[in-house]
Amino acid sequence: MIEASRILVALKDPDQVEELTALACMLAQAGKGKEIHALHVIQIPRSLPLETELTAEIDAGEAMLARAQTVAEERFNLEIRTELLQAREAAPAILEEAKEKGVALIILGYNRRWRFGDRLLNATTLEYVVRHASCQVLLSVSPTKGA
Amino acid sequence: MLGVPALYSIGYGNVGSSIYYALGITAVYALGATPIALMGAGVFFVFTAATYAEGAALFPEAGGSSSFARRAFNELWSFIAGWSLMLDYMVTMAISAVTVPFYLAYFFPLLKESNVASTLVGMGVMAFLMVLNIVGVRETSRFNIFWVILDLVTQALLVVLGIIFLLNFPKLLSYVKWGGSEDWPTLGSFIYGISISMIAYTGLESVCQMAEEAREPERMVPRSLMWAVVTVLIMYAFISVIALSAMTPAQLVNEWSNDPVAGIAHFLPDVHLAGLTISLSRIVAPWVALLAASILLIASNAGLLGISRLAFSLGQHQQLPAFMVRIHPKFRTPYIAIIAFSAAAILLLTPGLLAPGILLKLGDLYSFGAMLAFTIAHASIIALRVKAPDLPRPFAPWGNLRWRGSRIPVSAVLGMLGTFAVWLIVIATHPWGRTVGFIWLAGGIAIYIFYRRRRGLSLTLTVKAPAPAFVEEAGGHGR
Repeated sequence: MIEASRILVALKDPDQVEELTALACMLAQAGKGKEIHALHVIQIPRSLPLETELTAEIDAGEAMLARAQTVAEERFNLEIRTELLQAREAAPAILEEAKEKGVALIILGYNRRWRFGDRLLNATTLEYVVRHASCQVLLSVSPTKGA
Repeated sequence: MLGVPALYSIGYGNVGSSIYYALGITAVYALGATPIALMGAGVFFVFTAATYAEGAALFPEAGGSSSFARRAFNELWSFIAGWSLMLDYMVTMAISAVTVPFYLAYFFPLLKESNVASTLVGMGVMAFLMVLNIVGVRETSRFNIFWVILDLVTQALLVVLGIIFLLNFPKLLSYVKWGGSEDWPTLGSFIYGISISMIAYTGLESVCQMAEEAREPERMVPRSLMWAVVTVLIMYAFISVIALSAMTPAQLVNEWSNDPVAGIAHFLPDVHLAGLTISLSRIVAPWVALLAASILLIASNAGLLGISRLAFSLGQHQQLPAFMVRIHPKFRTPYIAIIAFSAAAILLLTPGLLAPGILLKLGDLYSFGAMLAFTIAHASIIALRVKAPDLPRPFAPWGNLRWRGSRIPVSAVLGMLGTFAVWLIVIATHPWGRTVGFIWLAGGIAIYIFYRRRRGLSLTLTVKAPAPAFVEEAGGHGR
């Protein structure tokens, strides 16, 4: 039984923004009056200072978060809080954010249509979050292409 | 965010890796007095670490002594410090890369016999790291911690085995002969040995660069720096003493100067246990060879990451032309800086193709750049105590002098005098370091003046390009 007082949705793939946000909103509505946080982490290569502003990545991240807000407002009449973070690695950043916000549930996505390299990297992130999270983790897997 | 274990591992990974080459380089000049020379340089290292701990806690950002000098003096001094550090990063990259084949010589003896072969492999290592960093392969902090623990355990194991089987005080004392001998240096040679042994303490800057990623940098950075310093000093003290117990200074210099830790492993004896003869050397030597090669590869990579970040920081402050830190449209890495500095590090290795002794040349050059950067760092911390005495200082070294109402840290004063004196010794006695060092410095200052004048900017005022605009200019949109 998921008791989601606060939900954190970690967004990475633009194709999954709607699906993950909707999932968070449905869970929140089922639990009534819950708080949703949407997060996108920009991973900065180690060859650059952490505060480097990569405009293309920032634009893409902001677009995803804005889309999540629109979905929550228009389809579920809910407000969600958004956060754009810069980190070396996504997984520890997601966990720290979850801890800081006192989150009870983290929602993550996995897209089977990702390329091999992306699948490998994201599997590492997912595994780290699942292994180290001190709250519940919900993994939403996108269907394969013709499914 | 990084905590003490990650910061400590970065610090020890960087500083501790130097043991694989610094011991041999120092022994060439300090002979049987190598442990004393390393500990002498270690005193300056402790003072410098205290200065960096204060500075990094005060300004947790990429840039190290370049950042301190910006706050204390002006942009030109900040550039000189940053440009000197770049030289050090390149030397660290080059020396770590070229030491890899010396340790792999356990498996491929040609690498020890031919300076051309070892230099070519060192160049290959640099080229490999260059490509890896352009593509931006992710290396996690957990990966670093794993290797550093392995390195630390191996070094501790060598110390324990060395104390049990090799340590020989009468032999160590037999080297002492005032005035110099085959085993003991003259005063001049000893001082030269101290100046070149500064290469043992590379890596301070890397920890400071990590300050921007640290959780509570004001507490974590000084703590991890101090732990790394203590560990490194203990390891250097034991390993240098064990090395000179296992080998005579002449053996260390003539046969093992490029891979001194392999020399220790080589001289471990056979142990007879329950009727069995166990060759410790055959077990430990291949392990040391593989571990040293891996640690040196990581250290070389850390140098490349450090120089890329520093270049980016200098670019942001309009101290380097923006094209130097252009970001790759696909990989999102500063590929021009990575290519330029990797190529420069490869260029630094070219004398190795012509004659043996490349490590000594690189040691010379490191001392030139590091002592200048460290002197500026100490001077900056002193100046900031006078100019801005009320700045909240989360870390301040123990022991202060009162001067015109300001509290001046004794460690910074002694550190500044010591590192400046060593820099003067390098200039006076290390021709290769002096020539290449001054060419590098003059070239950098010329680029700085040309670039700033061309943009109509003051040579001394801080001008920071707004980050988004800077990235636009430097990299453009990638997707």
